Amino acid sequence: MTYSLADYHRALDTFLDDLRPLEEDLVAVLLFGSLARGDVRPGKSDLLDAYVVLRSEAATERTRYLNVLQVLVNAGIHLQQTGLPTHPFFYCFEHELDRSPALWLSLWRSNQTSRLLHGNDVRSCLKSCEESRAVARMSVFQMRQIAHQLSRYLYEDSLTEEVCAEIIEELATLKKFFPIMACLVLDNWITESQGKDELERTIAGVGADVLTRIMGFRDCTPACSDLQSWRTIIADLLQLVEQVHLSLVNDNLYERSPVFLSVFQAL
Amino acid sequence: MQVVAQNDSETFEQERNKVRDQLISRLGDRLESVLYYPHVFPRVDYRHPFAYGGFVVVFHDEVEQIVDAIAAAHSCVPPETALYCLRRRELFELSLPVFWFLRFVDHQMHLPWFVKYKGEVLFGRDLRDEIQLPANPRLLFHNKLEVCAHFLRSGVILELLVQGRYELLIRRLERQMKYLMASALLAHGEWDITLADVAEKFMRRYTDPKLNSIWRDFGQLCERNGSLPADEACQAAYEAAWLFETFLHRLWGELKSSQQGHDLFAGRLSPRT
Repeated sequence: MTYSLADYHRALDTFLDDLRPLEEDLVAVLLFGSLARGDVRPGKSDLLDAYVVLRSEAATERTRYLNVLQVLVNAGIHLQQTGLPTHPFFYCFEHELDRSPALWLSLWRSNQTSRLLHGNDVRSCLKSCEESRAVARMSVFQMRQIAHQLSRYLYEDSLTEEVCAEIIEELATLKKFFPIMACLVLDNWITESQGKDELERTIAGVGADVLTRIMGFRDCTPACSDLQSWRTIIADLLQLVEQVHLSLVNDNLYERSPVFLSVFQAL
Repeated sequence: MQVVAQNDSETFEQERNKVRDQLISRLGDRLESVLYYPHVFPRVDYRHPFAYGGFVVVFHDEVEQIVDAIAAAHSCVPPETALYCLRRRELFELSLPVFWFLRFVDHQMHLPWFVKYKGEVLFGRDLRDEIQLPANPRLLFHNKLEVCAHFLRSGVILELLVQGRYELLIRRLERQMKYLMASALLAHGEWDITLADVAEKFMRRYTDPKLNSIWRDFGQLCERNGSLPADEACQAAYEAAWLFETFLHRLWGELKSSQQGHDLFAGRLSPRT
């Protein structure tokens, strides 16, 4: 089945219609991701990178909560019925805006990567706490371990369609978050679109071309039987991850970041 | 893949030794150590023996071209088994938290304690003393709450309700409540828990009657789970989501009160020097 940009916009309109019964319990709907940036790849991009902000009372009053949840589920069902690639949207309650996950703030707050679809523009209220920022700035080290899991495919004699789809998803996720997490170690809070350039600028000697190639790989996926292509992209990404990791644990980079030092420096 | 019963310890030993021997054979002189650790909560939905723990493969500090070594290590270990690969000087990284999907956070949370105090050396140097414990486990508690608010609402509650998988949702939420309890206990330095005793230990430590009553109500839902007609199963799943949400809300309150007067960076992790 072939999809167009219009299918995505139609799904978005239906989504907003579906949320109408929430009435006063709906504070805001934010859009982020490819639809907000205007770079949807029809049939490839997922629906729906939305963040639904709900009135705080809906979190503490049982009947209200159950009604709200029912509305959200119905909206999710309609998204699924579009046939487009989907994942569930995010939601939170108004009193949680000042404890948003630090890692996602750059995606939600910037005018370049998000836009208000409905209600109050709460983006300036989105804040993270010290704990969240600290974890975000350390996450790249476990992300490295998550990336390592792709390495098992370097030794596979064959790949199924299902496995290839999983690999693509993993590659796309790493492409999106690894540069953000790596730059965070050095207190450089960047957006997804800045990932490659900022990584190359921040960490001297790193060539991050593989991040660009991953997007091409996703749009024009090689056949499962083309093992060499799959191995090359995985190996190149792992090389990048290891190169960045080595640079991050290098003493010079530690010295650049007082906050990082405050977490790691020996007593 | 061969499926082995949980209580078949002889087969488990054989399988684990087979992995160890493959690691030694493929990685040989690049290996500093191979450790095995049990996991805090064995996975109940998957019966492969290694779903109960994982391997830590430690390379010499001098190994520079590490990608090949990592790939070789991963090819020796069954796909569903956790495997951490790092150099000796990077061991401190095992103790660092991550803001990511639930399964990673849940596996990683107790990792340093379980490697250090319950891990076994399968090969090479005993590095368990070099594992540093997080100086401020409240950070892990906070992270677990944040991950639940962000990923669980969307990826578990909404997703499973949309798919109509009500029984599974209740099971997943029960397990996540136990993980939340485990992270709350960790905030007080209590790490040695099991799936069977975590609720009891939690209730002893956190005496808020509301938390207790939510857990009791959730237990009643779990008892009926699996035996309900479709419409009642749906209703039960929504109720489970509500109970989970209130549990999460109360725990945020507990965390806030426990944080008063504490400095986030009072204790620090340090790389091996």
